[in-house]
Amino acid sequence: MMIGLPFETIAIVGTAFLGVTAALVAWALVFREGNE
Amino acid sequence: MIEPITAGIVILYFLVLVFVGAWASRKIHNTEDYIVAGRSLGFWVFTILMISSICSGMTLLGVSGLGFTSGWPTIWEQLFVPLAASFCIIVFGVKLHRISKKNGYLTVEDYLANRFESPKAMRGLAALAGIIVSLIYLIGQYTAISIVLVWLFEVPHWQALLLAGVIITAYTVVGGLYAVSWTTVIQGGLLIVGVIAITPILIMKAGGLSHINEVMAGVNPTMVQPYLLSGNAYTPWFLVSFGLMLTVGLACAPHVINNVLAAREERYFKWSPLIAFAVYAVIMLLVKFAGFAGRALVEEGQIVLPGVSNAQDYIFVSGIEYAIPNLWIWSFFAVIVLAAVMSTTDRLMLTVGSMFSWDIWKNIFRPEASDREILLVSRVSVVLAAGGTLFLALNPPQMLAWLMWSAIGIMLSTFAVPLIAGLYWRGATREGALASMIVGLVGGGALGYWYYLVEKFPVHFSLYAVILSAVAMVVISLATRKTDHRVLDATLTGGFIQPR
Repeated sequence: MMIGLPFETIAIVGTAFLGVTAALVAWALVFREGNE
Repeated sequence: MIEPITAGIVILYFLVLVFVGAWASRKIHNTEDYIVAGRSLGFWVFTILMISSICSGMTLLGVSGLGFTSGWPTIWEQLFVPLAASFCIIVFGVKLHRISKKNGYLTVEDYLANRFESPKAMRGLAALAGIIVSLIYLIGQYTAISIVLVWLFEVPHWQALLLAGVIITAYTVVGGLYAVSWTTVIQGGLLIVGVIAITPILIMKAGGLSHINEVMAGVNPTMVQPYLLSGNAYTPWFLVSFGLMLTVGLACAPHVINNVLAAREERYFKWSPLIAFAVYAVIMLLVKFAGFAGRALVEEGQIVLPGVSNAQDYIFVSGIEYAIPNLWIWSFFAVIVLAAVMSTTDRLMLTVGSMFSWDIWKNIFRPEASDREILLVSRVSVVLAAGGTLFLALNPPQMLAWLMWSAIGIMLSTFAVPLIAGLYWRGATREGALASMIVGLVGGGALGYWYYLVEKFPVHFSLYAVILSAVAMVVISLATRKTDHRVLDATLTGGFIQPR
């Protein structure tokens, strides 16, 4: 019987969400309107 | 019977939608206003439209239902679906928006016709494929709406469908994309506020996140694992194909990709991918957690689901009923559920109307058609699309079920390769694009049929279909005459960012 939260699962899923968020922040920082 | 307070709040909500439609109709002066809202959508309206076009009736009902049934291994859906909005804006939006503004395109088919020098064959095939897939998807949406309305009003299925169909058709027909996008802001706003408010209450009522996870692990230890190690679904390889289908398939769905033509300014594409993803991911995660909480409540006997075959799809509405005994607040949440299921439906109907009136009627059959005539044809086709799909949703033929499940996979295999190759590969030719679209549509349909009705594959069927489509594009393009470089330059074909 598991006690508490499934931390390993949360760590794997959380890393994926943070990774995607970081990539989209990076996109916003490099994107320039018009001709770059 | 329905309580008068609930009826009053729902009717008020419907009146607001019709009022928005009437207000929007005053802004419609030509086809461009109707189809792309005069390319005038501001940052927030555009970003919420992107989210709500993807966020369908399945978001509340299906996502919580899947969480209820299978737990954590299904959580990846909450990563891939919001990412579709970002993928669409970054990979398709930046270029398509710029080219469309320059060349006055109203639909993505305008782009495909121009890029592949095929004003009739490519345009007609793309529009026809788009209309077929959108109509199938629309039947699924109406089915979701009827679940909500039957639950809400306790009226027969056909009355529920007719009521929703008439309201959605009314504001879409009179107000075009202006009405669809502004009603979406109301619907999206309600959904965001509602889900953020309800889910923590539901989690608390179910004993907190630790307790919910303990109950799920007790039911089946795989429910708290990040993926499954055996079987045909939610294994790591399946998740790769599932992610590709949801992220890229939804991004190139006609009712999603056409939104990028309506944004007022290109600079929105800087932050809208992040904001669309973040807002949508939070909502989707909360809805999935609501499904987890619902499982704990059902296991402990607090909620009893209706005795129907798709009982898990009722977990979100049953959870609301359990968590909020106050009739006023409960009625407000009923409207939120309704808002979620209506926001994709209107966009799909408008897309079908636009593709038929602009791409098929005007550009293939009647080039001399006046603006007035195109507007009329567009409105009539929205009504016909609504009527036809409502009729099919009333009594869904058995054969249709697999098509509805396959719709996103078929969108991926039909549109992804011609769009990506068209935008980024100067070697892609007209014949290559036509071949990849036909192979993707026919291959996707056949493999989807096999996958759902005959035998499951180790990965989602759409992966095989999109590979076939890509092979057709490369082989045929290499064997046929290259596209004129002036056309390639005019359509900004090539590397990611092109000088003006």
